[in-house]
Amino acid sequence: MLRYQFMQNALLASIMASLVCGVIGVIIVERKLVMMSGGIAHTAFGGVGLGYLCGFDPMLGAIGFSVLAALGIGFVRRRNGAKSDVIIALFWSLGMALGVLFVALMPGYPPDLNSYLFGSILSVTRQDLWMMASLSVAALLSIFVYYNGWKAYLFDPQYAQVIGRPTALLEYALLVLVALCVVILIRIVGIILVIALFTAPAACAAFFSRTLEKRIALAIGFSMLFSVGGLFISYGLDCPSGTAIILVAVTSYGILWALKAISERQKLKHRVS
Amino acid sequence: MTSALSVQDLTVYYDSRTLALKDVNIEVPEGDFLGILGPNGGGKSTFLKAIIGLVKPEKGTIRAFGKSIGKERGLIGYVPQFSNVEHDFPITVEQVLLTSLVNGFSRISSAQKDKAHEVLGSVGIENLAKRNLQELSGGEFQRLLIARALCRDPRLLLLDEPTASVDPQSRKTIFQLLGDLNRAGMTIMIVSHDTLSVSGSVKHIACFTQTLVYHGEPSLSESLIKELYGGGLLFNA
Repeated sequence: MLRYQFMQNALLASIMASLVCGVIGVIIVERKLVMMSGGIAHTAFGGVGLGYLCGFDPMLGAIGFSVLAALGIGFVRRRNGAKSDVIIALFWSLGMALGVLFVALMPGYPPDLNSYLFGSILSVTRQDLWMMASLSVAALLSIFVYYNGWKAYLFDPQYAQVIGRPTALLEYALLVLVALCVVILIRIVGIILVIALFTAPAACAAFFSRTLEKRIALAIGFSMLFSVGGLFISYGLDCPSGTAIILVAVTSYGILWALKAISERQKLKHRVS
Repeated sequence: MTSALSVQDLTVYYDSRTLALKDVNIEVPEGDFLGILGPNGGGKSTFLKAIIGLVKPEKGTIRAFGKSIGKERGLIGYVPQFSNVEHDFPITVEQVLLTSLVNGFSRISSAQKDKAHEVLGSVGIENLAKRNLQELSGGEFQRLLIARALCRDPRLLLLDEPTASVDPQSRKTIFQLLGDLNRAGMTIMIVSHDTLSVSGSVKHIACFTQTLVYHGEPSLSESLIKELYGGGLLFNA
């Protein structure tokens, strides 16, 4: 089935998505930005709706809305600190509401939005691939060029500020990177399921590795496993790709978690006896 | 002797509403070992944070070694409270020091690695260089935080509660280490609840309850303790 163009596109898309997911996912999990990423992802739906209403590529709308959400959430978070969960919730639902409103305002027959909500990896086009590729390169480069600086910031932002690192800039940059990665993942798993693909590979990797580098490498691996596995299931069962990928990811996490719990209990027993 | 730190009319609000410090004036001479004491919420930690620029003063000036603190940041080392640093971040002891040494854009040099190991040796945890944070005890983690500040060769070292989460043996080691650093010429300011250990080790103490209520020899009189910790005030309330 790999001879089909759409399958090749889908495979390329999942590999690219996995690279970004592994890197950004680990960062999101370590910096505890999971819910914020969810907020940014859902706000993107407003952009999709606006794209349909005004007749431009909905993915461009998604980029615009998610980047604005990232900057907005970042700004309020810097101002209010701990109260950011309220603002995340508001962005989250405002984005969804706007998306539905814009589509409702559209004259004529409403478009099928399921592919944006739950992903549709089998319908990824060459044009989508190019956009995903350029966003991925931009995101990965901005992490790797300044890798040691990012590491200092992620470990202890306050200390990074004390020694004169540009932490405010890094905080905003990180949120914008999350926004870009959300857009990359929308075609694969959809807006609603994005946070599972951010977190599951990183969380699985955390079972096996204790350095940031290994964790990122493993998360990329898990992410590929989940998305390619999900892709074949999605092809076989003819269901939305996001659903299949997330089911594979969450099931794998559950199994690994259980195995880890069992092995730790056995170790404990071993030590006691 | 020049002042390591010179603070004038410092007023700081915490969360932009609550008054944390009011009109603080203090001179810390170079080579001093100053213990900063006071009740919870008395403004001790805020005072350190103002010196390193983590909180913005409402008014007042802070100068380190004669220059405004923005310019002299490199001369000040900061050891944050134990509980403010993540213990389960996937990073090794050696890497923690390297993140403090290396500029974000460049690769780690072998000179920087040597420096990291030298500093780890000076705080007595060189053997833990490849360990992960999760594998450290409270005392080891605290010494790592001190090493991270030391690897930037500060002339003024600020420590926020460095003995709060450590066992008695580590506490002794840490105070010994700080004493050695001080004898080698480093100016040290330490915030602590641990009145007894501090007053036995430092040269001077400064006591804060929003304002500087005492600055001088490390001997606490009964009236001062009452003023600091509110013995008599309770009955008034």
